[in-house]
Amino acid sequence: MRLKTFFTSYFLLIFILFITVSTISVYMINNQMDMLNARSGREYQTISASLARDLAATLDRSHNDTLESIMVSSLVNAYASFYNEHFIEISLIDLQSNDDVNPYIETSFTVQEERNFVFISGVLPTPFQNYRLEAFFDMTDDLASMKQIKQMLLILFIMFSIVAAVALHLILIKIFKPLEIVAVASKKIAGGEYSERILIKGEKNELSAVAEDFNTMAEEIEKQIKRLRKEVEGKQQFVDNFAHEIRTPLTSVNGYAEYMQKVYLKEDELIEATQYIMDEAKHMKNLANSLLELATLRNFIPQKVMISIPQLFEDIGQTLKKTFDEQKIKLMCHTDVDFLEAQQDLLKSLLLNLCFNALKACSHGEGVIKLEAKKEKEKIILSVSDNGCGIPKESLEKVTEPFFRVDKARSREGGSTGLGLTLCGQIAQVFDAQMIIESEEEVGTEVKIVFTAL
Amino acid sequence: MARILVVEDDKPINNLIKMNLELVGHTCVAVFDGEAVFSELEKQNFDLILLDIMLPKLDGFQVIQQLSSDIPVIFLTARGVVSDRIKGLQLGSDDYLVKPFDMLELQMRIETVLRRTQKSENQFFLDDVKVDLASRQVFYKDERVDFTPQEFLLIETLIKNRNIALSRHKLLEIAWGYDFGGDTRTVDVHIHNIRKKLSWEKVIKTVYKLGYRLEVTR
Repeated sequence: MRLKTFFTSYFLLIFILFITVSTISVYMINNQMDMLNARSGREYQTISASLARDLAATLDRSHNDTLESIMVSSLVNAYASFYNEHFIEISLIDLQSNDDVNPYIETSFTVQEERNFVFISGVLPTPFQNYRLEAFFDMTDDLASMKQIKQMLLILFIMFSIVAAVALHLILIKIFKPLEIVAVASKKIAGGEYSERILIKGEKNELSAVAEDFNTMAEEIEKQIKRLRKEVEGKQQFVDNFAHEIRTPLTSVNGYAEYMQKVYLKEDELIEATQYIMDEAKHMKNLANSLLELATLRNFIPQKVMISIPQLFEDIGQTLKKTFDEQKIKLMCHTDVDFLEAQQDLLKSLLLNLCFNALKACSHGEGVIKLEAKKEKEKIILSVSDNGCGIPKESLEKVTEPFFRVDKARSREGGSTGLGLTLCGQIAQVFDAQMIIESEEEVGTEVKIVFTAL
Repeated sequence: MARILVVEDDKPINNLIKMNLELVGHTCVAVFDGEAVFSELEKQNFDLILLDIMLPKLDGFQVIQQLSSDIPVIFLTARGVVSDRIKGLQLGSDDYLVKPFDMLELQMRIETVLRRTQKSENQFFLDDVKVDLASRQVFYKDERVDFTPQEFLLIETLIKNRNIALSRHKLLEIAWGYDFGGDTRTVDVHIHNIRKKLSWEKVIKTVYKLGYRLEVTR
């Protein structure tokens, strides 16, 4: 890329320079030639005029109104020897008659003995039309100096070309440096170093804008990769946990069955063993049901109807009454909202789930569980709060993860699958609601379901 | 027999392990979390600890790191990932067993570890019979009875897995070392010989459709 740019711009530059230099030199040479021509022409005129004047004077002094050739030739010789010093050779030719005389002056260039001449020939002014004056003006020196100028120009051109090449190369390196940095960075990113960024320095230009965009892109890629990794990790975690969750009951089922088959059992032992098998089978059934529910909820679009909240709360109270009375736990319901748009079964299962969680948290007596509905900033909030043991801070984020248990030993009792809060979160998502859990250890927990749409 | 501490938070499994180990004569104490290990160790000594990894309060890795005594430890866990196995063994456990496991396999592994730490049972008494497992000798009414090496391997297997019915295939696998189906009648012939030599007709019970069981009162 850089090389290509270098050659293209360099050849363009040289081409333009070449055209310019050659145009200038051609123009200069033409101009010089014209000047030389004009100068020769003027000198020729002067010579021709003064020769004619001298011839006229000679004619006046002669006796018989005719020019004697010996006098003419001596005059011409005097002229020739004078002008020879000025590098002009002249000669006069007697044409003998006045007829057929070409009255024009002719100019031409000739080369003789490696010297350049301007050759001018023409007839003398009247009355000496029968004489033709021919003059050779020596231009060798002038032409040599012109050649020198041409050579100078050529040398200058070559020197400039070299300087231009070096300068262009350096400039291009400087211009392309950011691009190279971008190239290096993108190679690194392609190789998996997603945290690679470009350091932007200096004033803003197109390249720094590119670098900025590049950084934005790199950041986005890094974010996405992190998200994907986290997702994969989450999935792996889920699979690991699920395997553990299913292996534990399977181990006991298999173990007790084997025990029953191979060992002579008394009746009480037999009942104990079969009870364990049945309990574990039931646990696995619960697990399967919860997983199925989670799977169906994922792409579920609920058919929402208006639900009477007081009615719903009374319903839940009825369902829970027996269990709560047994454990001497008080359930308090309070609502400021009459209706909510949702699906009855799902909403009820969500609240029941939360209530059972609260119940488990309150296992050590004096428990009060509050079920509330209120309106805050146009949003309906359902909340379940308890005064139970609370959730440790470090676990608060993880409680909605599948199979996560704050206290593994206690939760497995009572047929808990470890999917309850995951299900709740999933149901809340189906209703476009947000589940917020606030908790303090030994004080209590409050779970809020915030409905964004009315 | 050995005193074994079973550390497993899942009650059914804990109970199952305890039942199985007590069947063959071990004494077991069950605890359900990591911290209880240390309070139990203060009270009495154990020959072996069966340790789960995912435990409340302290997990199995933490427990084994904090153990000061050199009691052998076998990890029992649902975490079958290689990295976990390696970590478990690196931390000094004697074995690593992944759930769901076979009870017979657990017993064999316990036996191996106990033999290594010389806590294995050396002698077995039942009525008039005495079996010296170390010197590989069998006595009936204080008189030495001739046993072929194969017969001894068979009676040893039955004693180690007493009260548990063993199929003919399983016996072939353990006592003969065949892990493919051999002639199961070989087993019947050897059982018949042992019964006759020790008058154990009632002690070695034939379990219908299954195999044989050495019955010892619990």
